[in-house]
Amino acid sequence: MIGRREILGGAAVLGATAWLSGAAGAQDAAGSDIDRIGATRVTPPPPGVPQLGLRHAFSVSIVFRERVRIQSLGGRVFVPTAGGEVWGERLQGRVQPYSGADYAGAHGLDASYVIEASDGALIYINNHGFMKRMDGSIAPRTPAPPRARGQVPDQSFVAPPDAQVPLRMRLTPVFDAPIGPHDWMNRTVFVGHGQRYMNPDHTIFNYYEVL
Amino acid sequence: MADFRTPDATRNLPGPVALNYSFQLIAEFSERHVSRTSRGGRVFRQLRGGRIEGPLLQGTAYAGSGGDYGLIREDGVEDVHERFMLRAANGEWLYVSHVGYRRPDGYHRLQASFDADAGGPYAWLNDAVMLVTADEADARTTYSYYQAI
Repeated sequence: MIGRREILGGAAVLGATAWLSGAAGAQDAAGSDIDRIGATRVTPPPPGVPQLGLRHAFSVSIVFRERVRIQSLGGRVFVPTAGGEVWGERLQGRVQPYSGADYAGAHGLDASYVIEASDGALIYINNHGFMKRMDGSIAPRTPAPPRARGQVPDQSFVAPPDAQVPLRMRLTPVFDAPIGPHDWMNRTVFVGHGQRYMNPDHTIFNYYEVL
Repeated sequence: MADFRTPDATRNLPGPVALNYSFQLIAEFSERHVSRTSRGGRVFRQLRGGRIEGPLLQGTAYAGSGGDYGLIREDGVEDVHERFMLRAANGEWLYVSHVGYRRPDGYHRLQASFDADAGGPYAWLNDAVMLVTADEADARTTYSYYQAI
């Protein structure tokens, strides 16, 4: 069993001190996902291999009020963003209500929506990534009943109780910001971390700049 | 949104992301051609080969399987768009795609995504979020891959 201290010790080799202090300070009733997963061994690069650092840039909350699934080959979903907030060191604002959705399909999460920064700038985000249950369980999903002739089935679904299982959500967002104070986002690579919550159905995303 | 507030308890909770060093690709490319287009400077740089070393993947990059098709923007930053094929040490084909930024100030960072046969030893690459630092020296680019876990 590898404890948190060792995880952080291994990660410290990467030199990402800014995000490490954040991770070390994480206190949450649900627990961080690494804590819930338990053993996460981090391999540091051997000498001579260029290193990467991460720095927390901002966080985004998104609340969901409806979910639709199309029974195509990839199982496309439509989960619109009802709204949310943006806070943190490098960006503040809100998620424009119904500016987009997660259109996840066979290749995992695929979300597009618009952030309205506190100065009024509109920033487009296109987010790819995956959400994986770490305990080997599969999200319960009611199989589609055979379709009756001439009938449109109910395509809505409720959020599976992912917030209650060990979950790993990692994201690779790409942003388009107008030229101006936010245009650093157009030339910076990001990685994201997502955590699910219930009642109300929402997700908190933490975005890190890749240094 | 008046009825939704982010719970205070999570406000200062950066979710932890760890980086796991995975492997390195030392790739050889043709010279970079840039075509002036209405979108910007369209790059073509053909992959000439390469080798993969590291704890989680060993193999080669398949010469002529692709390259960089990025776009050089007005601000001088290249929107990198690379795709090519790899052969793992067991002979299995792997598809890799890179997107990210190559900046005039030397910042060259990418997000990588892979396609590997499900059920094979490299299936873990299919849902891996990979971050890459790239170092370019003439025809040779060295990519170092870190999995975000």
